[in-house]
Amino acid sequence: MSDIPLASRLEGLTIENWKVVKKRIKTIDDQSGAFSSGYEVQNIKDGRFGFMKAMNYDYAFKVLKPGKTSTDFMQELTENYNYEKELLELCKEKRMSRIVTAIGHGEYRPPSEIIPVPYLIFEIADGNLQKVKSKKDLTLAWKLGVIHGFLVGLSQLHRQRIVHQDVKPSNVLIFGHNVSKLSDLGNATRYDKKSPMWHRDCHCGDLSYAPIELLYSYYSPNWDTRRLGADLFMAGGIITYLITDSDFLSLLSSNLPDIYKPHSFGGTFEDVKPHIMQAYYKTIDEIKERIDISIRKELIEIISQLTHPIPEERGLPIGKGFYTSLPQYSLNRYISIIDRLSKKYEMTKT
Amino acid sequence: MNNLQEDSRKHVIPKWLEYRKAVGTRELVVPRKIHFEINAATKESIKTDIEEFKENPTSEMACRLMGAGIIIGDNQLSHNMAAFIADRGGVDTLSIKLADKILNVAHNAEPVSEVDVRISKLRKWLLEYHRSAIGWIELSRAFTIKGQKEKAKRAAMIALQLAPHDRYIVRCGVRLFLHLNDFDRAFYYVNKASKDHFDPWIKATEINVAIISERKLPDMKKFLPRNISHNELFDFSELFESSGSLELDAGNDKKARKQFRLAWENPSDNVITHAEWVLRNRLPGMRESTVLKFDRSLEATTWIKYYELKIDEAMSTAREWELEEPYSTYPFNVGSCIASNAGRPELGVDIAKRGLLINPDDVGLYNNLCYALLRAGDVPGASKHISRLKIKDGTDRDIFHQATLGLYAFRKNNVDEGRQFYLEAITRFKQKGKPDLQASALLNYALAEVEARTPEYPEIANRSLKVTEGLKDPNVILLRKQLQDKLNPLQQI
Repeated sequence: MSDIPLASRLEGLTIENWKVVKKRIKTIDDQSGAFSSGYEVQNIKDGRFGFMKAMNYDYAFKVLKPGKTSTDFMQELTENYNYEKELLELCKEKRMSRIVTAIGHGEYRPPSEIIPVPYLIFEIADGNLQKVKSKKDLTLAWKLGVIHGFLVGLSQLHRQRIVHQDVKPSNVLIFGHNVSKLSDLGNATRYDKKSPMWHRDCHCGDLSYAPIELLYSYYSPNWDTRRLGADLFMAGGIITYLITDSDFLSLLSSNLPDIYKPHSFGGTFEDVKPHIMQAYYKTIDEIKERIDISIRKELIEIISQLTHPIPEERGLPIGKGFYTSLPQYSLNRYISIIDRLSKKYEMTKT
Repeated sequence: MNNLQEDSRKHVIPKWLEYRKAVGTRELVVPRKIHFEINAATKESIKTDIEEFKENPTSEMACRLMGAGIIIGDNQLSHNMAAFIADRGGVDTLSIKLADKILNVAHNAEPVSEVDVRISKLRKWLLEYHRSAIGWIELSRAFTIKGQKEKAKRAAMIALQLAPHDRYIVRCGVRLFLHLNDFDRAFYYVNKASKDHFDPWIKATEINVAIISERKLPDMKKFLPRNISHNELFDFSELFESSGSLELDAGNDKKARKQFRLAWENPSDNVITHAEWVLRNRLPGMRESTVLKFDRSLEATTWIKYYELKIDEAMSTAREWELEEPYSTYPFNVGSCIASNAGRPELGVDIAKRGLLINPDDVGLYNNLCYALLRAGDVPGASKHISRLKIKDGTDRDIFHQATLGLYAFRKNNVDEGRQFYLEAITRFKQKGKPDLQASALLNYALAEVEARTPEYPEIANRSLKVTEGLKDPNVILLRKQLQDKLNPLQQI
């Protein structure tokens, strides 16, 4: 038996109908997660390419936390894998066009190995938003198209009471010119069937994109506020990123006086609210200046509503001189506006 | 001239610094007790991105990592990435601005604007962001500096409604209401803030407002912890200082000293200011054994320099103090007094006028202005304001007015009337058992006699100098010097 974990040496093998072409060095471009390896694969029947996420249990055991048995850990990883697989199947079943769904899955275990390698195969993209953005000189029309795409994807998840919880530029994949889809449901959870990794209410994916309240350990007891609100904040973060090259949370944190920054402030979220609000207004004011005048008013309204630092006030400002039959955290209105802005912008440019 | 050792300074009152300065002080700090934890997903994501950046350094990735550094508190990471962005550019202006801010490039600093410009900017800001509590309290401060009290009050009340428990907002609001002598309102807001949760800074303010407004005081023991670490002492220093002050007023000097020692172990800037007042006015015996960084307080430093008779330094510190607390009459009062006593009445006039721009109804400042104008020989100038000096109810203020009216009468050649005012003031200070003030009044009287060249001036002046010999009060020392300087050439003739 080799010292190198099986999941790390799949290159050249053919698993089911997939030929493992090339191992990917872990980059922001894949969605392989902490305990997995990524490969480029090709279907031997129809020739299409895909991305394989192979669970690396061996590696996971090496970083086993003290106090946790390997059996428990193995069970936990398997549960997580199965949960993600089920979510992906549901997305496929519900025809979520803007979610990167699995095109294959299975478990590989040659007779000589004890530990199996469960895997998922995804459609392959031209790159993620972060990578594509650094390569191209992008127009506003392109950006609006990308915003529209990932918002639709998020809305498709929300309609099924699934929340993504790790919406960030590297999880927005670009297909073709500007078809954007949301990927990596590794941190996602469902309202009626909680992800096994969601044993803590404050769990989220990458904290450097997380909604501000979680950084102060505040989480609403209401699922919609806590979970849908978190997705909305992160979505606002991506729109900001497309305009300013910086994420909303980074800009917001930079406008907070040092003493109130999450890593130094010891009070509660309630205590820090007036200062976060001040930083929020300042951030919105700064972003506003960077938006094309033709769509400034509408787009800044969207960003400000999605990124409102108080989760209870995030989303549609229902009851504040604004009437709609839509729920507070619905993305439909934003999608319509972006669609309209996109057309409006095209018209002003022609 | 006013009494500089005002009793109103015996309370521990928060300063109202502008927001950007206030957040730089330790007063608003709420330190983390538990280390800020970053989850595995974040660590992994940042690690991957750093590796990617090393392979292929781009400004876009630098932006991402600069932001991550800010959020997780990795200053080195955000600084390195900011330097890369500043060097390479190629990203949006806002990200470049952020990089500059991290690198402390000066053009990001908001310029200090005139108060009118500031008001206009704040109004515009609040029109858009009307729920900004910080914006409202800043507007209130700007209105206070302009002397627009009602507007200041309204703005502060909105701020307090938006953030009724915030330490900064509550203490600023209370400072305003005390400034406006609206003690009930000050107590209402501070009491409301401290009702639901205990904050030693707000509690200390509440106790001082209760003392000022003569309300029933809560049992201090309930709020003063017995075993307290050096770091925690900072947060409780105002409470211990207030407790010491109460004990002192109750005549329990021993207990007061104990509480003061605790407060002075790790004091806030306000405690330092107050400690200087205590050491100067109430417990001078403790000065030798007390080690405090008085330079942390502009008010304390002004006094220390003045007592050391370093007049230029005292004046320049008083000017800084004016700028730090422009809403307060006190730095203007002290500055104009020092200037006039040091024989620079023209400067005293300027300072008093600056103070009156902000506090146009402050009678104390009018008294200083009249005194400085009269000392500078501008009798018509003093005539414009002298009617504001009223003698009403026998308070200390009345006695100062009396003395200034005495000088005015002398300058108008009504020597008998002037003498009458002065002698009455001197007698009343004597009756009140205030030897330093009595001496100051006596020396001022002698100066007036000398300047009027009355037949009695040699005797009065020499007697005044003799009687006041050995007194350590800087007002007395400076007035004696002025008198001596006026007398010497006359005696040589």
